[in-house]
Amino acid sequence: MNAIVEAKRLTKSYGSFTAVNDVSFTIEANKIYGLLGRNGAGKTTIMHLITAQLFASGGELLVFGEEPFENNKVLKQTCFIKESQKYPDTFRVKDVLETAAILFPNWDAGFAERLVADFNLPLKRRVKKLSRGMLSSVGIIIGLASRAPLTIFDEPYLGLDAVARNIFYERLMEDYSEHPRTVILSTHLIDEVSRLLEHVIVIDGGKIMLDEEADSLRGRAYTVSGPVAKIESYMAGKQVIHQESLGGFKSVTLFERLGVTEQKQAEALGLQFAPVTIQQLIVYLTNRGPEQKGVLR
Amino acid sequence: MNTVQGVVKMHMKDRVSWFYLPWIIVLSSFVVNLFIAGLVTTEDQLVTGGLASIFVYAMVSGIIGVHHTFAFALGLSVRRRDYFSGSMMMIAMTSVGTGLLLTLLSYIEMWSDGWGVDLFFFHLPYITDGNAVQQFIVFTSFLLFMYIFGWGISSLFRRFGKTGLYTMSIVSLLIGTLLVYAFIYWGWWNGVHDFFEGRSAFNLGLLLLPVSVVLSFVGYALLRRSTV
Amino acid sequence: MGNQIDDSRPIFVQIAERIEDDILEGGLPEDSQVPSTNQFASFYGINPATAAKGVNLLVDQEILYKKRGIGMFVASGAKVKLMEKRKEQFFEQYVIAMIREAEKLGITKEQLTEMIRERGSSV
Repeated sequence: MNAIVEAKRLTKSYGSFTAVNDVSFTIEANKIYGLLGRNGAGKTTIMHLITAQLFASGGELLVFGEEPFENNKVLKQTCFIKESQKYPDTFRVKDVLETAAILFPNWDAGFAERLVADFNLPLKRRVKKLSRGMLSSVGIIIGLASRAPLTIFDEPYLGLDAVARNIFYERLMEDYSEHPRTVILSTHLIDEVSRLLEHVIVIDGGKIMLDEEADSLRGRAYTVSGPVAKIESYMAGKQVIHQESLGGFKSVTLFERLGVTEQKQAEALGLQFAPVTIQQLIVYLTNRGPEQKGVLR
Repeated sequence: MNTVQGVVKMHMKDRVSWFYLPWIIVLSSFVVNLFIAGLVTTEDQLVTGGLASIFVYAMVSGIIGVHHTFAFALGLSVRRRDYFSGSMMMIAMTSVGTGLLLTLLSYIEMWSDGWGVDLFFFHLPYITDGNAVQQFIVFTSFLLFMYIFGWGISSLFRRFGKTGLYTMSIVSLLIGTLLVYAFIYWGWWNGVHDFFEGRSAFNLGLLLLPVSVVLSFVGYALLRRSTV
Repeated sequence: MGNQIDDSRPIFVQIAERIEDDILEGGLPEDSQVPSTNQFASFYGINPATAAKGVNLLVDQEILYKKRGIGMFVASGAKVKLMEKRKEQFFEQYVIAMIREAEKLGITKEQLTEMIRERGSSV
């Protein structure tokens, strides 16, 4: 496998606070990754490290096989779109896009033009005067039209409505099919993007909690509910990631694959099953108290 | 296209800050002075310091320039070194262009006897004592210094934030005060006087060039470790 | 986007099942071309790699075969093979469940066959 990003024991601390703690992972070529987790989990820090906008406190990080800091060979192949991106006050949308066109070697001007039309972006307006959603679409257009071999989107669509987000997903997938590249997408709208992802990395408290193929997370956990006594005997020895109860009724989410035998066994006990989506799974996994946060099998 | 040129082009998108605004400021000051000179009917020449505004503007522009474009350029995958080189190129080009225009205006002012109303705005005693080349170097070098000085301040802010700026201000204030006392105590003023005595503006302009170069590299060293 | 794909099971499995259904229902006769991975991806709004995984699952089972440079095609005998496979699944998923439920309600196997013969014919 062709590794685009290789992080080994990567650490970033600010004084006594460790934002990224001894993290190792690999990003493979031409896959779409979801970098997921709660706010402050360390996702943004990792993306800033990959693009050499922050400096690691420890560990090793190779991007395209080289260290990214001040490395044009790496940076020219990378495009990082972030929610907090600053633009010069005097720049119009046009100026921003023209500058991006100059700086990104694979820029497709025709594609950028179509995207501007898709998002109804006023080219002559100053970036400073754009609404939050329009500002987000500027970033999205740069991210897509730059066709960088490694494209990173960090919460790219603050303020965008569902229609505009859908345009983003569609254009991303169309263009990805024609021009395969490595994409890292960080977002909280997991339900919306989960089908686009090939691989999911979940960060929690500066550590990697899950690093798996997205499809293998479907059916990776399930919720089972029924009378308390029956549920308790059923869940014994299984990994519980969430539970709630109401009177004599209990519902638990288990981080277990639901095989045919388990299902039969449980059905015989008269228990009810519900599937767990990737978003629910990640919410449950990252919402547990510290005592529960053991290593997942 | 290489990235350094790209950075220059990025700066050029902002014609307002680099070109229009400084000239609007200088020329409006000039027009006001021209008006006053026209009203005043004495035989005396009217010599004004309105031109200082463009140098002050250069410093402000240096400060704001980094502030606005550094994070943007890095966001577009520009290396810090290329950002530095491109920005320096832009500053140098602007200083040279502005220097040329100022020299030209200084000559026009001289030839037209102060625009016919004895106003001396661009052609100033001491500053434009030398020949055309010398005048050009004085203007350009001072502009360059002011831009880079502003750039340095902004780089310090980028690297160390507000704390850096406060610390730097306090430290320079302390050093300045101590130096003044030292000068008074040991009577070094004569030395200072000797240094400036008899030195032409051209000579000072030349001396300022290496200072600007050193300062620019200090700015670069700061930006190299700056994050966005 | 997202037609009838659900998030409770791996998508590649669902894609494979969708193709199987199409073959069983005659939508995809033998030796006809199967839509491309990218067509699946854009139709269902899924990652092309996931769609490819579903298609490859059927290639491994020799339901589909690959013509280099052209695409994927339905193998001859695919329908019969699928029917056998589905019959087995039908027994596991429906018949066993039905018998269990019948036992719970005190319905004997004879009563069950009777039920299917008498009243099931009108379904």
